[in-house]
Amino acid sequence: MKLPMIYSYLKKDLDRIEDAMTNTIRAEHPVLEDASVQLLRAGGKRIRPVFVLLSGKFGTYELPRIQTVAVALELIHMASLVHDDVIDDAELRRGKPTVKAKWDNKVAMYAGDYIFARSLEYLSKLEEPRAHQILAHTIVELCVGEVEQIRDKYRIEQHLKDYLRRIRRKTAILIAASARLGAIASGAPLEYERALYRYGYYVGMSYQIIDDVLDFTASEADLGKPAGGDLLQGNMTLPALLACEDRFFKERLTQAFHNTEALDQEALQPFIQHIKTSDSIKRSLEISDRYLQKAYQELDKLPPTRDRNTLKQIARHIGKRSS
Amino acid sequence: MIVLSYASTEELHTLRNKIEKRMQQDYLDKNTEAPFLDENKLLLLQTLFGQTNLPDKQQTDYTITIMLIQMALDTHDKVIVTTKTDETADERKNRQLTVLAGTYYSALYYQILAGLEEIDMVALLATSIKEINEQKMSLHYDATTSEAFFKKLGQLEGCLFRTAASRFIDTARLDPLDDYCLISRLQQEVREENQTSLLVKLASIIEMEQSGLTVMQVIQQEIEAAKRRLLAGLDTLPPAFAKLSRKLLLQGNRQEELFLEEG
Repeated sequence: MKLPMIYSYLKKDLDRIEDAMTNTIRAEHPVLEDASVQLLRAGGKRIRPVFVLLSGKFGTYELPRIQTVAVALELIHMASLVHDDVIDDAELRRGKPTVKAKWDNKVAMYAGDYIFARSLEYLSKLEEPRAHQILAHTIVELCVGEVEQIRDKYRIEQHLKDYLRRIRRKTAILIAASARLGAIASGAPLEYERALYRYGYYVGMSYQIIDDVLDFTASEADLGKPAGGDLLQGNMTLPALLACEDRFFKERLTQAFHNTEALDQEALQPFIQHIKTSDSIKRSLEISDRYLQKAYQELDKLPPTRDRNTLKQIARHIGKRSS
Repeated sequence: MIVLSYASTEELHTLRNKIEKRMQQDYLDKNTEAPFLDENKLLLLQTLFGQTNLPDKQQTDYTITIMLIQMALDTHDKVIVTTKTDETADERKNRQLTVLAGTYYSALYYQILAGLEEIDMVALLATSIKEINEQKMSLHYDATTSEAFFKKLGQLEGCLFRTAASRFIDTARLDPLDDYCLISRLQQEVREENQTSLLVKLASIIEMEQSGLTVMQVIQQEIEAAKRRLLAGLDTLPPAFAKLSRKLLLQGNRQEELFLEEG
C-alpha cells in the first residue's frame, strides 16, 4: 500500500492545507513567487502535516487551528530544503531542478528566508506560547545539527552516539515537534502529547536511518541522484560507521578521505560495494527497527482509535520503505 | 564609528557583548567570519526604545532580537551568487556554514521572543523579514540604474527599523532615517575588504551607465547626497532621532562632535 493510501481519509484536510500553503507563499516579486511555487510543486510526502493532523485527533480537532500548525511546519521544512540545496550545491531535488539551479544561490537564500518569515507570520495566529517555544527550540536544534554534520564530515573516528545525536537534530525532532504541536493545538491531554512526541521522535530516527541505508541500496532512478552520495560528501552515516568496524575497510576509507579533492563517485565504488555486501545494512535496519518498536510502544499509551491505527501503519510503512 | 559620551559608550559595549554572547556557537565562531554588528543601527534602536516606557530588560531583549535579524539577513547576503566549479574544500565549508550561520541567528530571534511570549513581536518582525526579502529580490533583479539601486537600498536598509518602530511610535516623521541607514550601510561597504554582492551588483549597473566613475566614487557621491538629504530632513525628525542623525553627519569631525555632546 502506498503511504497516502494509509491516511486517505485525511485527504480533504490535507488539500485545505495545500491550498493554505499556496496562498501563504504568494509573493509580490515574480521571481520570488515562481521560486516559492516551484518549491511547493516539487511536492514531497507532506509527512509533517499528516502527523500534525493525526495528533490533533487526540484532542479537540478544529481544523483552522490545527491547519495553522501544519502549514507553518511544512513551510519551515520547505525553507530548510531550499537552503540545504545551496549547502549541498544540489542541482536536482526529487528529480526536478532546485531553486538554486534554476535561478541562483541568491534567489534560493531569499526564497528560503521569505518562506521562513511567512511561516512564522502564519503561525503567530496561534496564541499558544508553549507551542512557539517548542518550535523555536526545535529550529535552533535543527541548525546546530546541520552545523555538526559539517563539523563531522570526513571524520572517521566517531561513535554511534555522535551519529544518533546528529540525526536526532537533523530529522527526528522536527517530526516529533509536528506530532507534539498537533496535540498542543488541539488541547490534547499532556500524557497523549508526550506519547505523540516520543512516537514522532522514534519514527523520525527510524526514518533517517532508513534514508541513510537507501542512499547505499536504492537505485539512481529511485534516489534521483547516484547512490553513495552521503559518503561522497564525507557524511558518516550508520552503514558507513558500522562498516568501519572492519579495520581494513576503515584504514582504506581513512586514506580516501585524506584526499577529498580526488574523491569521486568512481573512487568510492569499492567502498559503496563493500557496505552493500557487508552486514552493516542489515544491522542498520535492525537499529531502525528497534526505534520503530519503541514508537509502537508509545502508541499503546493512546486510546485505540482509527488515528492511532493510522500512526501505527505509517510507522510500519516507514520501516518497510524501499525508496 | 560615532564618538559617544562615556556612559553611552559603556552601554553600547555592554549591549554588544550581550548580542555576541547570545549568538555564540563554537564551530560557527571558529569557522566563519563574525557578522558585522552595525553600531549605528544599534544606536538607532537604543534611541527608539529610549522613547518608550518599556522596562530596561525588554528594551535590551528587543534590541538584541532586531540586531540578530539584521545580522542573519546580512550573513545570508554573503552567500556567493553562483557556486564556483573549482571551489576548494575550505571555500565549500565556508559557503555551507555561512548559510547555516544566517539561519541560526534567525532562529535565535524566534527563540528569544517565543521565550518572552512576545508572539505579536514575532509576527511583526517576520512581516519585516518578508518585506525585506521582497525588496532584496527587487534590488537583485529590477535595479537598472544607480539611482534606483540606492533608492531601493535605502528603503531596504530602513525597513526593519521602521517596522519595529511602528509598534511603539508614530513613524510618519521617520522617513529621513532611511538615509541614516543607507549611509551606515554604504560606509560599511566602503570598509569591506571583500567583494560583496552589493558591490558586484552596483559595479554591473555602473558599467551599463558608462559614467566613467568607479564603484567607490559612486558610493562616496551617494553617501554625500544621502547626508545632504538627511540634513535637510533633520527638522522633521523627532528630537532624539535628529540628535542621533546629527552625530552621524558629523562623524570624523571630533571638535564638532564634542561640542554637540556637551550641548
